[in-house]
Amino acid sequence: MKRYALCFLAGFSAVYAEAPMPETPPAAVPEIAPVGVEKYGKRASDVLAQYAPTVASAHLSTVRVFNKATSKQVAMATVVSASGYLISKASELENADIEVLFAKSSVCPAGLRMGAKIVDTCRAFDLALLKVEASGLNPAVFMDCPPPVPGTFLTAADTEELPLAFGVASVNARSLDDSNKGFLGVMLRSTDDGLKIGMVTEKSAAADAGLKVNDIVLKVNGRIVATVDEFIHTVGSCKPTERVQLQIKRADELKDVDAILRARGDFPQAMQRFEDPRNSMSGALSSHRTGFPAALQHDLFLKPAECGGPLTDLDGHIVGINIAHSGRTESLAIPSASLAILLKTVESGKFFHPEIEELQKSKSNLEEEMKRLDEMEARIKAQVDEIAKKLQALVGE
Amino acid sequence: MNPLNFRLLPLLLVATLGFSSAVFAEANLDALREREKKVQDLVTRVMPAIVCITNSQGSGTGSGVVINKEGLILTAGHVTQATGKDLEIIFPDGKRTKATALGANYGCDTGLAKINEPGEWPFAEMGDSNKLALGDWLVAMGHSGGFNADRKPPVRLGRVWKRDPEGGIFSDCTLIGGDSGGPLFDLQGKVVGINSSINASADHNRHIAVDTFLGDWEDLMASKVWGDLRMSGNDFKRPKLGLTFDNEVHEGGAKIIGITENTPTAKLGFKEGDIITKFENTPINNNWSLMRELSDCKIGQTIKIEVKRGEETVGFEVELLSREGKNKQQLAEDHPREKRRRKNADADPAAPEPPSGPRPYFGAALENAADGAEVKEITPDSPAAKAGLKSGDILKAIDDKPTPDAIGAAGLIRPHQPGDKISLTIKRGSEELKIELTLDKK
Repeated sequence: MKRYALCFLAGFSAVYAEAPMPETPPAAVPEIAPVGVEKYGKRASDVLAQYAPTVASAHLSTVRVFNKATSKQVAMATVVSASGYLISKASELENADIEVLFAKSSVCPAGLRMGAKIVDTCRAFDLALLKVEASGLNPAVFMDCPPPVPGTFLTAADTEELPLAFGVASVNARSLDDSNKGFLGVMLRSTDDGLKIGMVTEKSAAADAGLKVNDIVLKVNGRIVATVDEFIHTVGSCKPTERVQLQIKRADELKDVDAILRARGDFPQAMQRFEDPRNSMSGALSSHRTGFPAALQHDLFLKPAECGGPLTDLDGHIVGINIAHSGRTESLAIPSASLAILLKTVESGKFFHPEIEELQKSKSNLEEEMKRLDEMEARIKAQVDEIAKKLQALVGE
Repeated sequence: MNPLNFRLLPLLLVATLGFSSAVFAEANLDALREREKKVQDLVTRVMPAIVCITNSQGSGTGSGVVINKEGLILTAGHVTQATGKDLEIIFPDGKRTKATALGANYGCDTGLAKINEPGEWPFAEMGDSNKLALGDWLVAMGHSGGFNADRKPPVRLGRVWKRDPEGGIFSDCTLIGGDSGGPLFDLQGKVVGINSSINASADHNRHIAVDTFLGDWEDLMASKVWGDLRMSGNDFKRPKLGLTFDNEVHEGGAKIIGITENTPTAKLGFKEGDIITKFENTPINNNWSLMRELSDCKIGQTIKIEVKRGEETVGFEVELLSREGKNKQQLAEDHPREKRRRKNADADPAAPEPPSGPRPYFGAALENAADGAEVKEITPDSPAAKAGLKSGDILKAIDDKPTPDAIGAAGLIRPHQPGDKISLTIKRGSEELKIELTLDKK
């Protein structure tokens, strides 16, 4: 266990190598309290207080969500409509009876607590739309503005004046949607013999194709793959349902195998096994932490139950909603521009599902196309009739 | 809940919001805006110089930072140790080139490499890590988790909260696999450290100060490789006093701010606020010089220490402790063999020491379970694996002698010779099985 008390940080290509995965959870290492970090670290109380003005407005829209039965906080939420709608992190709500606690005030110093119902969910963003029987709430404002650039200072609001945490935008906002990336379902390790399969994911394309542990993968679609990265890139750039040809070596025998890929997004558990286990050694990660169609990566250290609340910039603008603590170094927020779209129809108690509009659009496009084709058919038919008439006239003579 | 009441709330909330001093808050915000601008600017400027370091097999990846236009790269010693000499370098924009590892001091975890191809490479300047003070703001970067074409190296913000005498800078800029060897910047955008290691606390991120590189510069440039790869700042073998100190200078000594409970040191009569001024015959100026002296000592050694308590000077003799706060005698008592001997002795006072000579090899880890010894990890190709033992089996008896726990089971195996056959009674699910196992030698 000791070797995990302190880890050097050379990356795992071993991300894909199953060998170095610890048998015992590294978080069990006895912790020696850091001396000095309370005074000089970024979370020193005097530093945190400096960020309070940045959430002066946002904290009024911030809500804590509790499991009614256990009284445990399961998530944060954000007020999105004065008429009682809130959004929160769907996967943390555990389908349980929930209760929400609004920001503290002088009227209600302990904060206001009431039951809430889940009225809609958006699986892609892992968002739940909650309804409380109240009106006149302080909704958060999501502006359709460019997401913050790396290095921008960010603050996570709490239900109190003092923020939860602050940090910086780490990366430009990007899509983590992997529903359109091919997934074969093998864990590979770079060995002297080549890329050796260390594990085959159940019900995956690899399992269907009969790939086995210890097979060596030589070629993908006729091209030699030398490194794990190359393999991931080649397979990941193929689409789900696409057929890939693999050349493998099993006990010194060369074999050609065809596999029909499935989507990476359908195997979240398998993808999580590829993560560096050190990501969770400093605190639990959100169980749903990838696949978001748009996400802003930042370095605020949040607990899973602290996701769902607003994230602001120094001007106090809400730039997103925290949606996952996704690694030791990272958390993710849904950018405000995406939220603005999702919440277009909030007053009707539904998320706006852009695919509805897209489907409606393609339906009307196709209908128009059909109409055009019908008209064309009619015109052509008229022409044919005309020619036939002329022909008849000539032949008839 | 009456919705009417609730409607009043927001107005009141707004009305009662506000800080003791709005002016003060504004001044704070301006300071934050200034700091933010520095961070954003430096990130844009240094980004092109932050490289991913790997090799042609892609086995092991780390990071590095180019520090001159000729393509010299600072990285961590354990990165080039993992990759070997021939390196593949990937820039954030995806451009790839080859490099060669130069020297490394594994003791400090410093390493150098150089891009092979001549050219004008993007670089970040080296700074002066000696000037860093506790509480200074920093930015750490690196190719976390390896090169990722979907995003540039992530930016992380933090502060220096501790230094150690081996050149360690501790910050709360969080790091993860792949960040090793990546740069730590001051807010001027100068490289002041190189990412090295982490532990279970998110606050604990250790970087090597760039001045540590400068101390070994000629040897590193001459491709010398030396030292042991151990985590100097957290060396398990480094002795402890059982006392904690702050990092400030107090009247030329190290001030005790805590005494670790339940250690032999706690019984000696140290008091919080005592200032250590002498370690053997060496004067102590602060916590760091004390740590430096300690790092040359061994667990179990007895050290004369002088402290100032008000006007008085008090002398102590302290036995140096292990990381867990134990002295030599306690460590000996904790040794598994000693525990076994004691356990056997309890059962049978006349029991002899376990026999030395070739020890029988079983090949599975056992753990105490409610109803016997549970089989945990099984070593492939070991006697346990060959006999068909499975992880999760409960060992009930060996040669019909009951095995109430793991130590008991081990005690029944140990007297055997390699080659002996033993009979195991195990419970697998609801079944009870008998399995024969031939012990081997290790």
